[in-house]
Amino acid sequence: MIRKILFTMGICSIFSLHLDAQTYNPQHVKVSSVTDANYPYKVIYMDRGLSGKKIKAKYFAAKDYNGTSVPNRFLNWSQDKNLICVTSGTYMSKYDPIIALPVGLTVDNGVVVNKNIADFDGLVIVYATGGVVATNLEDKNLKVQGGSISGIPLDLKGNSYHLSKFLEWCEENEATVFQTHLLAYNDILKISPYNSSPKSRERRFLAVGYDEDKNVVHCIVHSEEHTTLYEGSKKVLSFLNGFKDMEVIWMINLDTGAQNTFKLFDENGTVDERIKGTIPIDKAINLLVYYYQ
Amino acid sequence: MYKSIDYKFTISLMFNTLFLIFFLYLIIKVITVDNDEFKNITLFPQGKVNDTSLLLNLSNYDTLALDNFPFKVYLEKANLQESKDLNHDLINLQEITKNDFLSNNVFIKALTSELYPKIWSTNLDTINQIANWVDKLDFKDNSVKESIEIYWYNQITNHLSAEAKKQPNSKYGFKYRYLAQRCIQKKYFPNTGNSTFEKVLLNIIDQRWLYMLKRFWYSTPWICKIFILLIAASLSLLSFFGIKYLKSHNLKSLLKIKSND
Repeated sequence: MIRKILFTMGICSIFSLHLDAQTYNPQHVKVSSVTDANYPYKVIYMDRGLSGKKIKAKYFAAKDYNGTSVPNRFLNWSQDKNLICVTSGTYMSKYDPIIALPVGLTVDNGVVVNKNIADFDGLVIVYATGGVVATNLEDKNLKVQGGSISGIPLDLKGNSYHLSKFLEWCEENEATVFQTHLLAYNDILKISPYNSSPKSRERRFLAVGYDEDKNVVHCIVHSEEHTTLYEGSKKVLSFLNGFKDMEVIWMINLDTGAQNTFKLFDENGTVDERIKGTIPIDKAINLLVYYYQ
Repeated sequence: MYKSIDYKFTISLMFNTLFLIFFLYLIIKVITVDNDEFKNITLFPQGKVNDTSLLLNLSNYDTLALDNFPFKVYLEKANLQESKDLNHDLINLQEITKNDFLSNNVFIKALTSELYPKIWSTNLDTINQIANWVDKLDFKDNSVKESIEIYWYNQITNHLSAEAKKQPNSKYGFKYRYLAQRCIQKKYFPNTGNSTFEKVLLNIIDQRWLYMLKRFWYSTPWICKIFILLIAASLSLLSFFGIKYLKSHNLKSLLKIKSND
């Protein structure tokens, strides 16, 4: 009897040790390989709603005021974090990590990095709480909470007064903001073959939307098949709508070109080789990180 | 024996010609870069007297809306060169409307999108004068200055980005580099990017061979792939037979023939 109790206690302790070692709940983050319409995809499906908002995002856009590089900032920050994945985010002006800077309006933790409004329609705001929101700048109705512009619809592209007030708000609220290609918005494809790059390459997309139970889900879809940006976006949107029953609020492009950085971690914190980038993190120029906390 | 020397000569001639073409291409690119200094351009009429009567008449408006402000008349009458006069106009406007948010919006619109068709040009000398004018502006309300700066520096930065995309060589010119640096100092980063040629060079420096092979394979049409593969095959065959030939005839005998010539 005592032996049985000891054995059960042992099993329980091993199991609890295993649970302690888990960096994230595999029920909330699922990595899978799927083929849809003859296109193979690797999907990281992060159910932020189901996790009770434990799945969070953090963006590193540029060196900090001390001149600490993005990879070093990430390493210092990630010491006590349970990482899910690390990926390159928006486009960069140069190849060289020493002089490269993000293209388009960028604010890093309240510090204005680039005041130039680029042509891209997507503006992504990463909140200190770990939430991510993207807006279509063409709609001219960006609304933020707090400060003198709280609730006022802002037209950042067409009204420089709105832009200056928005930058003030970013500084006051320590917001992180970057601009990128908005590929889909409210389940509608926003790009066409005429306004996007015709170059074929492997693609990676970040889509945020609702699952069948109306939980907020963040989904990274990696397509090794070489497609143009338009073809890839169209197929992935259809895949998410049909195969995953996902209502896509917005979908953006994650750069897989000259700064193709990607690292995936399994629930035990070890590197998962199923999806990997070609550029190591120590050479990354900007990083979008998903973590569990 | 003469045949063998011709063969060597042909190979070296081929490589030297290729090198010369590449070298000439680089020299032409460097020579054609515009390195002239800035010319002095007058943006606004000099010595103009600021006519504020227009603004005083605005008090007749019950409500001043953004769209019914007489922008055209104001821009003709105001002394846009003088920051002091502009500041005075803004204060007048704020007193008339008793609404700073609206006054600022009207005033900023006048000095940005309404002024744009009157002064904007893709000429870098004009763009430099616009940057000079913006930098000299000074208002009590800092957000007005900031908004006007955001508008004009965004126009300049976007123009520089478009120019670098259209003509990658232009970004090495003095005027371009000076303006780009001015924008960067104020945290407006032109997307100067890299041309295909620059990308290839940078990838070679970074020794990203696999990436280059992948890019070549997926980005080039079949005809180009066949052409490049034919060149590579020809070069390999030439090297193979060249080495074979050199092995069969030792170097000493070749030198002997050459000295006899």
